[in-house]
Amino acid sequence: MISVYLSLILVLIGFYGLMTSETVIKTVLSFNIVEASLIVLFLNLVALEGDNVPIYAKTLKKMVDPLPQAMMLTTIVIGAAISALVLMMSIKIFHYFGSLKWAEILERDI
Amino acid sequence: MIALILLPVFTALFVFLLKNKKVIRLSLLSIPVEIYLIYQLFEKVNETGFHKIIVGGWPEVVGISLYADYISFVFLFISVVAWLASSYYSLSKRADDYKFFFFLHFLRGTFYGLIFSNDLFNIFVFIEIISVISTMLIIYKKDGFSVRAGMYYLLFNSVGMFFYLAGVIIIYMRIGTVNLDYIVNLPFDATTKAAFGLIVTALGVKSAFFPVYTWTWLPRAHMAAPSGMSALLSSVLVKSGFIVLVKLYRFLPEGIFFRYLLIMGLLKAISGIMFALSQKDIKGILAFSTISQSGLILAAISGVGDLHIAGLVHLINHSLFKGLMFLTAGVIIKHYNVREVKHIRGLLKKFPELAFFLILGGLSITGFPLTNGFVSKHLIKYSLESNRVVMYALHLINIGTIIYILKLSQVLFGKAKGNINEKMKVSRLPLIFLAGITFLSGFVEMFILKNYLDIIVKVHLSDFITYFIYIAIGYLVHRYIIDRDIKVLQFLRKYQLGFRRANIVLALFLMLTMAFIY
Repeated sequence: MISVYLSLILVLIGFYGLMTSETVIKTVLSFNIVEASLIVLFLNLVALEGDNVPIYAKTLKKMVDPLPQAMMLTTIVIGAAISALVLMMSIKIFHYFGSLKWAEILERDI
Repeated sequence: MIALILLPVFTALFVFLLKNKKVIRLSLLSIPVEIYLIYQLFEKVNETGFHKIIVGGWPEVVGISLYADYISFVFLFISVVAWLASSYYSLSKRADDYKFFFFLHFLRGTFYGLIFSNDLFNIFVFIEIISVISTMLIIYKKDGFSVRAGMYYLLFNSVGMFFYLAGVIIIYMRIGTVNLDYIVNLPFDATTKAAFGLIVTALGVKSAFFPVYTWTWLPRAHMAAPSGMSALLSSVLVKSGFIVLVKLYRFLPEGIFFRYLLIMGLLKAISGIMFALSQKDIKGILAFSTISQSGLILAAISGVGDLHIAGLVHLINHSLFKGLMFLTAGVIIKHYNVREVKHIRGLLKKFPELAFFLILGGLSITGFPLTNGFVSKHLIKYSLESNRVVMYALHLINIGTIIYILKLSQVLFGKAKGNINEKMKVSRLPLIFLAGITFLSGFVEMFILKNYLDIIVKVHLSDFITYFIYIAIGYLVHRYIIDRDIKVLQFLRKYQLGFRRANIVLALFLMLTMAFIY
């Protein structure tokens, strides 16, 4: 149960990062923290004490619910795609604005 | 249904692999094939009222299920029309740009997927894919302005979708499935309410509710994108939040969020008008007008009975006339080489056909009798007649709409100046197509509403009189207040909401939603 609370705290830390980080890179980092901790939270919630890995073995054992794992795998893929795209755009932004600080990016109007 | 989702995706792959100008032209033919597939699906749905398949033969609880009913065809119709027009429009500009068409076709496939998907997690996946691909199209020009807009759009949408994911997690922990058909059995207690509050907040980000759009992502994205893409964004992709809302209405107790979404919609409509009046850019006015009109859709679509139908009808109408206006604005910008309203003059003399399209769009959006905008606005007005405060708000919205259309209509008159590129060839065919559908749809809607749904829309003399009173008030307000560029408008134009502050606003919005629900 302690791991559930820990991952909830991590979600809140990530949101604090999104609200306060000054540069684009830090925003992407906090974005990834929120995402990863949401995934960990979900996986912690569905796993019960004494459950095994959901891999088919010869002797049937008590398994963890595999559906959340499949869903969270998809979420990881989506998160990776979004982070990659945002990092690519941050390179472009740096070329155009000469800075990655939100305040300086916003100030200039093209 | 699977064929309908996969056909655009495979078309996109062919376009990307073959890199040929002729293949790009041929690839547009996949849309008529899709229309035929939609017709076949309609016949299936017509037999039983709905059509459902489960992909891969898994049990329904864990499998991916696809579902279509009559309401799905509303969204299928707007997406087919919008994609037909904007793909053909892009063809005249980027005939050999295979990457652009790859994304355009792929986006259509994912949008069909969103329309059909019947479980909460699939909806999440499709919305995220739509966000990523539409970002690629928004930043397509690759200048600083559009990349910044695209980054805002992607990051803010994805942060909003975290709330959705949290809601899905809560629902899965309660019931052990994400299939929408099983969520009906969920007791509507405090935990379920929290889950739906989170989901509605996320959809609020996606479809730009009042406090969360404010000058952050949606208008910027509309202004920065290529014109074909801004038409698509405004006429179809903004509605993806509404698609999910309509899906959820099948299961929620009737009118549970009605009050909240009505207030949200009216606030969004009025605030959108305020921002639209402050804009100088022709696309900026149209972008904020999208926000204000979709607020009206939101207010109506959250109701039950006639009001719900009115919302769906207004959704169709808005996507038609706003697509027309955005594409016309794109052609005007091509010819004049400027975007600011005050530099574009004399459209009526130089390009009478463009002026006609703009006037048709303007009449529809303001609800001139016999146009399609009149039908839906009339329905909304008569369903909400009992509530006096809402009626005043609706009058205010109508007058506001007329004021910003008057501001836009300055481009029609005066003497043309600057270097105008008259020889440039931009195809008028998609504009004629959209204008024709916009013109006919009003009559078709009246016919369908009368024969199938027993709702009769009649045009009275008093409607004309009300319209001209609105015009008179709008003209006076425009002449004496808006034209002088008062300080409030200057402030609204210059105001910037940074990404950090936008997140704080988002958290406040979540709290507001929760407070409303409990």
